[in-house]
Amino acid sequence: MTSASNSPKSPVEDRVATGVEGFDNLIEGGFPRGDLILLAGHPGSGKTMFSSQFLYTGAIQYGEPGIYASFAENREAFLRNMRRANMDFESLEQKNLFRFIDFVTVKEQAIDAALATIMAEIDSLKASRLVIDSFSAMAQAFSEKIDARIVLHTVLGRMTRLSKVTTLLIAEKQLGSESLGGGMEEFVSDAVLVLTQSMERGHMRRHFDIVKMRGTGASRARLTYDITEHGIVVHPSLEAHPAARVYSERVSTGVEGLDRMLSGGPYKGSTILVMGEAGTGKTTTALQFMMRGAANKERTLYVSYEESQEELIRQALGFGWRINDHIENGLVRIASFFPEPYNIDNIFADTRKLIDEYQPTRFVLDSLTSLERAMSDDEFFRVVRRMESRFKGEGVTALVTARNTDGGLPSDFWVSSLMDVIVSLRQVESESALRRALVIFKARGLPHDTSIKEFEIGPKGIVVEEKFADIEQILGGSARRPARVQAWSDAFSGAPRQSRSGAKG
Amino acid sequence: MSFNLRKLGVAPLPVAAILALGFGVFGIGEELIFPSVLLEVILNVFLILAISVVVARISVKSFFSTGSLNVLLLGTAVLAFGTMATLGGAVSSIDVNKGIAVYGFGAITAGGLHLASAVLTYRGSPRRATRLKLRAGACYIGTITFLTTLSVLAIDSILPASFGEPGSIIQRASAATTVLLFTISAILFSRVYLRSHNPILYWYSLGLWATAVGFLSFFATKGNGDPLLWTGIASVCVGSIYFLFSILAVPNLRSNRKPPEHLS
Repeated sequence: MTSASNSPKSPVEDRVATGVEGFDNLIEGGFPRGDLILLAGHPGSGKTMFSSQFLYTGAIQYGEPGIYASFAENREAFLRNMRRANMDFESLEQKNLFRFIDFVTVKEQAIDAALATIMAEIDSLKASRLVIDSFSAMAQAFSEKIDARIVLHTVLGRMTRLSKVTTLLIAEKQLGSESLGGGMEEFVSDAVLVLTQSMERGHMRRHFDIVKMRGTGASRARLTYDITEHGIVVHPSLEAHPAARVYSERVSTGVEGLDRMLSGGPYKGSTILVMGEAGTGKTTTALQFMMRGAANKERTLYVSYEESQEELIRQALGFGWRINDHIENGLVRIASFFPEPYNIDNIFADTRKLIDEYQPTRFVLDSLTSLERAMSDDEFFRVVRRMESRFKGEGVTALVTARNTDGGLPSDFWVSSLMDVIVSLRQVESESALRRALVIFKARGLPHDTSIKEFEIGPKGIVVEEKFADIEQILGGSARRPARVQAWSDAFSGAPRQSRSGAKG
Repeated sequence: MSFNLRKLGVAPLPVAAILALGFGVFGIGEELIFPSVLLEVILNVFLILAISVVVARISVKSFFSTGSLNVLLLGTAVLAFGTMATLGGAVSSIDVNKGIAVYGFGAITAGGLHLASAVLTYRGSPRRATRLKLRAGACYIGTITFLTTLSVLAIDSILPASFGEPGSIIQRASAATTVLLFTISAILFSRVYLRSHNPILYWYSLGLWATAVGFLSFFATKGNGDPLLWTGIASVCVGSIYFLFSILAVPNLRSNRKPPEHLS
């Protein structure tokens, strides 16, 4: 048996790491040693997997023996299921780092004996970690609820604290019910974690809530998680925090005319929303933003939710922009994802990793619309807000695109309030031709040109030209000249006029 | 504008023509001399110049929207005439003949530009020009600059004084050319009107006719303040007023749009 004294202790003194990816750093490194933690969840939500990872990590990484006391599953089924998740508890048993106690058929009269057995095994193994799966099943053995409460309060509570055994108490949460287990466990426990599952947009989403955690500064934000072949992976959300620093330095968007309209360019750390219908040049604007960053030796992370890296490179080559060169010298990184409700958490986790590793000074997200489709409104708003606040605090200038298909104004896009700069690109019908219009709807803290300007997508990218002269209704999508100018033009066009009634002169 | 007003609009032309005939050919009213530079200046500035600026403005806006050169030429023509008429009036307060020369330069230039515009309009389907601002600047500013230079040359007596001498060969040739240019322009625009029935063209072509009659009077004038001169001035002023009518005459087009649903 491996002695606990010969193995490294859990990373933080008096803290017990769970080994669940993405979770420990949310709870200051782990559970306080000796705590009683209630882990409640829907059937199939991953309670057994979480608790098994807790025991396995303790044994493998820290040499802390653990006990799994099961009132619901027999040993063979447990070992078989855990082997599938690459956790070999059999070998740990041989090394005296793990023990499985089968209490499947325990009745009330034997509960005292079961508890005594657990205590004996803890002493025998010198266990530091204990999982009871589940208290709901244990409580069913009691004929009176009060007896279960007594066991919980007096026996389990004292047992774990006195022997400094960190205990995970599993409880069932019925689908459609708000109560956890028997309704008493959460009051005794030092921490309460709840795993839930729900259908969102046709796909199963898993949520992780830290409802209670004494003595630990843990985020109460709802987390998401996945059950992978390597166990549970928790996806912590981006934390929103007030900007640590406000930047007065200006950056270039890459579009000269747009920079002029913004009286020199947006502030560093701004989030710029470029909004428009399909084909108006949003991606071209984003590519120009990225290329300007590369020209200034700034690192740009381009996250595309619509096009692959190859497609973007090909598009850029059409303007003579050699993105590959900048990828090779590390100034540009492109990541392509195709968000759907079932993979959105992984995408966020991957994106956050990229940001943490690459440390860009410019960020492009193309487009927010694809993201919005894959999540609920509430979650989308939180994600955008947290992203915006993180970038502002770190001085990362972000350009995000969004599509409006119904010709609505940017103010109709409900996260536009989070944006520092909003640029609208539109196609305008004018004299049997499609022309492009650009207007700045918002530029927080910046004097800006409010005129509607025509722009072209030329061989070198977007070029902003003059403002539309003597044309009205541009934002309505169908521009027209003022009546008098129109009439003057018509009169001297020389074309025969169709017979009209009521013409006056 | 009502159809009756359109009918009445034609009336001043034959009246002016008859007066010109009477004063010029039959010598009626030869003793009715009324030189008044002040009145000329007032009419030039507050009527001719003001209206020419309005027409030039709407023409350049139309040019920016359509890129049609004929519209730009038309705007340049009226602007040239309006500015030179004003400058000529001002110079007349110092030297009448030089003032007439300046006025003549503007008129003949305006006539030429109107003819060019009329030809392009008559032929129809004017091409869309590029570099609109550059072209507009070259036309308007370039033309004014050119005419101003000529005027300075005339004022400094570098150009022959007979350019402005009433009755001189050069002055008459200038006036005759101006009459011819405006007349042909008026004919062409009138034909376009008959094709399109556009009220704007109706009034504009009438304006050109009135200006042509006015210059016909100038052709026959014998001296400052004579009845022919005032007939000419009156006719040119009527022409300017007709130009203004053309701007105001926005056709009431039959709408092809459907009413909003809640009103249907």
